[in-house]
Amino acid sequence: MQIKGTKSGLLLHMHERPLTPVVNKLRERLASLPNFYRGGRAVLMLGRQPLEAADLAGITAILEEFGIIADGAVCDADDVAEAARAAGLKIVAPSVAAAPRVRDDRTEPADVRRARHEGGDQAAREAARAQRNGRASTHADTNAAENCVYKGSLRSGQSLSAFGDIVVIGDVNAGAELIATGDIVVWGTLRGVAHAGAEGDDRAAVYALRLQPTQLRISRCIASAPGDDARPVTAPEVARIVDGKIAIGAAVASRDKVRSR
Amino acid sequence: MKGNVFVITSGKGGVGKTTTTANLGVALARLGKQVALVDADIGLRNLDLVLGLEKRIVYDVVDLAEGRCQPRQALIKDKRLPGLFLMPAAQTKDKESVSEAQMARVVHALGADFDAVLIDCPAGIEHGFRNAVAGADEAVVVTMPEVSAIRDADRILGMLGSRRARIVVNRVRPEMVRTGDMLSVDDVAEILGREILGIVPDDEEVIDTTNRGAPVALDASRRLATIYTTMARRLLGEDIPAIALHEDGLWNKLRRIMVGQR
Amino acid sequence: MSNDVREHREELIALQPAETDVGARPEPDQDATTAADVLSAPPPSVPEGSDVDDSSAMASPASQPAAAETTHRRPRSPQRARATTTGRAIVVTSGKGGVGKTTVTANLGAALSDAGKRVVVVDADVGLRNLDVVMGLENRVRLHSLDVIEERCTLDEALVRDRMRRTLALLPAAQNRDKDEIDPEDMLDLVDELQEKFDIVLIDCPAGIEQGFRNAVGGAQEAIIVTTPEVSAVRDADRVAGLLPGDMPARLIINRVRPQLVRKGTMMSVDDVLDILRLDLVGVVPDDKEVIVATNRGKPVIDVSGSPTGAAIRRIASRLLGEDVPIPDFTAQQAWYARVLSGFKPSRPSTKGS
Repeated sequence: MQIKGTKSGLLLHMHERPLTPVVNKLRERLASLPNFYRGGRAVLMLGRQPLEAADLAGITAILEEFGIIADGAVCDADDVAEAARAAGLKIVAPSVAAAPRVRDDRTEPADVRRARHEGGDQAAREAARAQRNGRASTHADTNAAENCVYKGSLRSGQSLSAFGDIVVIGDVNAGAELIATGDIVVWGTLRGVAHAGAEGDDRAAVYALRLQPTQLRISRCIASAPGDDARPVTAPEVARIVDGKIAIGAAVASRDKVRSR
Repeated sequence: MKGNVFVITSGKGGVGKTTTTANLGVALARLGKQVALVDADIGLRNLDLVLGLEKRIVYDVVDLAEGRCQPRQALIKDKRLPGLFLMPAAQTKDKESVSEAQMARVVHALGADFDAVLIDCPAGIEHGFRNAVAGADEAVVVTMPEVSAIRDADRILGMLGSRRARIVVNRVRPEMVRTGDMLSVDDVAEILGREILGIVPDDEEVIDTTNRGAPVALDASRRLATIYTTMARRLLGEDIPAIALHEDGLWNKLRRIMVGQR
Repeated sequence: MSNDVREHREELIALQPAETDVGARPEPDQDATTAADVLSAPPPSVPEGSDVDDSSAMASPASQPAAAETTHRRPRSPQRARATTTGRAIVVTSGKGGVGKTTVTANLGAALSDAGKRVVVVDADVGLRNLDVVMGLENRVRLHSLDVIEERCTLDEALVRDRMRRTLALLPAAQNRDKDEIDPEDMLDLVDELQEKFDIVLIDCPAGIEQGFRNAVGGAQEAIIVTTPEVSAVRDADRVAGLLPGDMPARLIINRVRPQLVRKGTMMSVDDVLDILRLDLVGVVPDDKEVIVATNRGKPVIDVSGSPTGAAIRRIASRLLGEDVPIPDFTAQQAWYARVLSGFKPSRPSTKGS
């Protein structure tokens, strides 16, 4: 068992079986630093070997005891996912497990900019201080859908993720990424990576005025753009899963007509 | 043979580290070796672009270092050559996302499975440079016959500790050396005081191949491919002596000289 | 826009608090955080003994920026009055190395000095300094910015006057120190003091997006991003553009353009680059092998007569000073010459001109 800390939370690797000794090790580890992880979120990496829902319940109970929110589980097999769901865990794709909520590494992050607009410099400074000190506060209420409407373009290296849908009014440049549990709409040119249905929703879709992504991901399917950028993109398009693969078609107002590629 | 880990560095940006890494990797793979190329330029990744593999990136070196995936998942297999693999950098993170210890671990694990591991180092001498160098056994310092580049290469050599470091003199323009407008390779070797791994002439086609994601060494008919193959063989330990360069030769003469004895 | 929307918008603008000038900054107080603080905060550290990686950053509180603890540093100055300054501090950055930041900085400095401004160029590449070499001043460098910060000398003592231009000076970087020995507030302090004596401060940024970059940007009010028309360079320029403060004006120079290659289709055109970067274009600089010759000799390329590169940089200097100088379309021009020299061959219709 391994505990790894990342900027977005804890990753608990629990691939070994049986889980009972793992549960004990976890308790020991957390007990040695009882308040260190309090208020944070954790994702369980459960691997592919079968397990008992009861063991999982034991793990989530310990996490609760130490004030850690079990955010979800990454499962490499269907029966493991079953058991995780039965224990009340959300099934999460690895990329969402790792992705920060809304990440803008501009020197003045969005919250601070908003505060400056509303309350001037004083408010902006307070917001910046709060941002630096209070990371845990942004993880409250992870069950609520938070649709995200971003007005502006994303540049290479910027990343936007949300539990819900994402709408970007602007371009998404190559090297930028969008990760949503719901749909993604880019009112501009999508050149970067978009991952819709990141928690396993096969019905999610990616729309763009100009769909020229480096890579598209919907639920667990991944597709890269065929050939080079010579494909003439003249109209808005939508990508969905059709027959188990990602397909792109014209985004027509009334009904999407999506052909397999 | 389980191989050595080489870091391809320079100090100065834009002298051709990434292009050299890609082409050396291709040359090694064409010699039948299993090669892993690692992009250590987190946040400013380019090795994937130069190799034409950017659309196939799912996991990257930061994912691996943070335990989100297994090593094989982070390695992209090049479809053009059987032994060539790329471990890409992350674009949406920064260099502080990985520690020197983590990089060293990742790279040593690769070294056990591959004949050669080439690490593409970022420009500069900051955290990214230290990460890239952390797991490396030997260094290849890329430079150009240009004052700033040599000065930076000199500084870098001082920061590589006791590792073996060999020099690649890139983007040489023999006609400019002849007119005295560019330092000669001998000048460079004398200033830096290290063994020369190879001399690469300037070639405007390199820009095109970079933009298209098809490293020039893929094309066996190109003179540059032969040059990179010779360098690859030297990396593998073959002792191919370089004959002194005569700068007033024509391109063909230059090529024969740089290839050395077979 | 309909009339009502336009009126409504003007009303809104009138209601908003007045925008601060490009030159002015909010007054820092002792424990306030500014954008510079957010930039310089290192990743929080983890206590010993846990199986957590170095990169973990969860519940630990933010720590102070890591300035050199044992070396003496000059005290941070209280807010200097900036309200009336007309001075400018411009960082020249790129992300990608080798696209020509240092050459552009040196030559722009010279061109602006020729235009009558008092200019200082600041080398922010601690450990890998090159601005002194490009300007041919390496033999005159005695002191550097860290000497000033650590109070071993005054700013005046560290400045190196250009050999040929009286209104141009250089503040060198240290060669044997590290970039993380300076933080953005140190740069801000230095730039503040420089703006008392110079009209324009040009900061030559190191390659990359690490501490050196953050330091250089921390001292600036405006940015010039330099790129070449290549996929990697544009990608890196995009990354840098996304890291600059949201309210910092940023403009673009496209350097090393080779018109023949653009026409052949093997090099990106100006439009291709702007399609991705969408920045205000302040200049397009053609490639010229004279540049490397001049650089190797420490001579500014703007002094090489007949150099198109030098001419382009002079035009950029004029534009920076507010003149409306059109940007020539190099591909069209070359096509015209080629047509004349090679007889009358059918040619493409010329694209949009200056």
